[in-house]
Amino acid sequence: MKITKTDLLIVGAGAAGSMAAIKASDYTKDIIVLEKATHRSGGALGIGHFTSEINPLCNIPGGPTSMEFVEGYLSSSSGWSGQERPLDKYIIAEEFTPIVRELESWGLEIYKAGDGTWDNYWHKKIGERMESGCWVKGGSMKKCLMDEVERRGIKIEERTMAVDLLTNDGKVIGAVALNTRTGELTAYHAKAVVLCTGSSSRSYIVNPGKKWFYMRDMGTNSGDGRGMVYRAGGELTMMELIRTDHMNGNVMARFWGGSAVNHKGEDFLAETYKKRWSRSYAMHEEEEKGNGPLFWDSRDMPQEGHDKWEAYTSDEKNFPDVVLTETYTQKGQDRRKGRYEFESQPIGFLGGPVFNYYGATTLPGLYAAGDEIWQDSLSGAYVFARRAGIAASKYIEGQDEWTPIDEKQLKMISDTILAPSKRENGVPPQELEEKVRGIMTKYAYISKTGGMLEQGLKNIRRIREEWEGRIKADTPHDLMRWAEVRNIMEVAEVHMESSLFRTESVPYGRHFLDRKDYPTQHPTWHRQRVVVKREGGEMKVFKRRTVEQRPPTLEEYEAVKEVKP
Amino acid sequence: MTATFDYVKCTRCGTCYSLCPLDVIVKDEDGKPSVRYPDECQLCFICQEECPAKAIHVKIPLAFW
Repeated sequence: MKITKTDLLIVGAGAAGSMAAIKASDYTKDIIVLEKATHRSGGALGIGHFTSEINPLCNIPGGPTSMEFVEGYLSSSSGWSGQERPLDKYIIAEEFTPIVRELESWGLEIYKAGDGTWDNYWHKKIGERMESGCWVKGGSMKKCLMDEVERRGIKIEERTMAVDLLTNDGKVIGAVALNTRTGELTAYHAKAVVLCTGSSSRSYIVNPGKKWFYMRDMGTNSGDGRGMVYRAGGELTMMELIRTDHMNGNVMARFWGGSAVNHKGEDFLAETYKKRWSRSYAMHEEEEKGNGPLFWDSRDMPQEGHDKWEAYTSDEKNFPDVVLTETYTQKGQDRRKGRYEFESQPIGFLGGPVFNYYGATTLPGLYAAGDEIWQDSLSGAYVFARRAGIAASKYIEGQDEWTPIDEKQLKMISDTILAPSKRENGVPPQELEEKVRGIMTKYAYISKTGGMLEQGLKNIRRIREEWEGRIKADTPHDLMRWAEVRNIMEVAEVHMESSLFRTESVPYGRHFLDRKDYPTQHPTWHRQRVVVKREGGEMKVFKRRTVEQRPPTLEEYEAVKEVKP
Repeated sequence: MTATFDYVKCTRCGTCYSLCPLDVIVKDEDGKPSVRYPDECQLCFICQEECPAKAIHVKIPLAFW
């Protein structure tokens, strides 16, 4: 196997990976970024997701202060699950606005008000939450990152998928990657690795019976980072908390008017914020009550809203979900005359590798940022990618010697990944993926019970045992799908074990858990996280207490302000 | 079928093959592109949007939505 040495290896060239590389390049010039797709098309930004608006913008005229933002966050539904760290939110509030200024200097086009300042489109309280943000031209978001990466001469290896981490003596020292066009493996020997592979959206068969590769988040998100961290023995957390989306209307109802109604025409979300439930959970509950299907009704939306919508979606594919606009056009739908049906579907899990305020995971030498960790927003991705890029670079400064590669590990990875290309007959990896995601859809969908989860785990483990040794890859493309389904299977098991372990329901936040056999929150679980790790080949699941849910003090922020390795 | 090609307009430039994030498009020895893995198309529209010759049409399946 070819071995390439680099000081810093970054896996994934989406929003987080690009930002981590740019920030790390202030410290080290020896960087390689691996991207499974291409820089232009990779990550959420590549296909147009999340490109339309950016928030929170704190400490600007019309916007909240960082403290107001965190206080609002803590009193709103998102802050009520007691899972996340308030200081993370404070860090984002403090550090995102300067990053937006930098993005603008790299070429991001931001809509301006008459006086030349950013057009603050969203400054209101949602529940108790206070946020502000601005519109950007979606087409310029990935482009400005690409231009800056190119200006800095950072090397990106496209069509190259990291398949497993290289470790030695508990330290992460690189990764093995598959060229998805030639089928060749390369070992990247590095002093530090930053994982930015996105979330694990490809865990279910969404819209059953329709398309199984279409989903709200990026289709390449097969949970590669989570799978690799799990196999390397790193800790994963909050993998039981699921996020759902209702495809259309989520953004629309918020910004331009219209409302979310049930089949009786009732605006059921009016009560949501009083209960401090998340919108996603409230919609799920409404469907469970038998009040579905749910719709976005914009027939009474003022003309101003329709005008904004049109200007917005026609300008450089600004709308986060390009496909929605196309769908309406191709189906001849008119939002002035008819309602749009919401389709509830899971789009991933909140959790990911356990990380500290500098993006360091529990494995020395391994950092993570973006949807890989539980920030779940573009602002969180940029802020923690900046931190992880700098922290990893500083870590490298203390690594004078190269930790040698374990040849046995290299051979094991190579044998596992390439085995399907050597078999005469067998099952295509796509069929295994469909099977695993089918089990997830049947036994670990939005509503769960202990019995379902036990059965699902049993089925998935049986399938793994029977099928893993029978996979046949005809092309390098199939080898990539094989490398991906390994991660999809790890994520599936981790999600089911975590959901089974947490004996309560969590209705708060954008991410929730609906255990039908434990329908309420339970005091013993307050501020407790589920943590999963592999030890001696076995999956260990345990609880860990989280930080206090209160606004951080200025001293606490000052202590973590400067990024440390 | 998701992406369909107008082979009269197509210049065989390979943009679609290069960009497809899910790697569902292949090209033959003459550079002619076609979809090999239709089920794995995410309908992201990048091929349609970026095709310099405007030779690609992504059709959303009727059963979808």
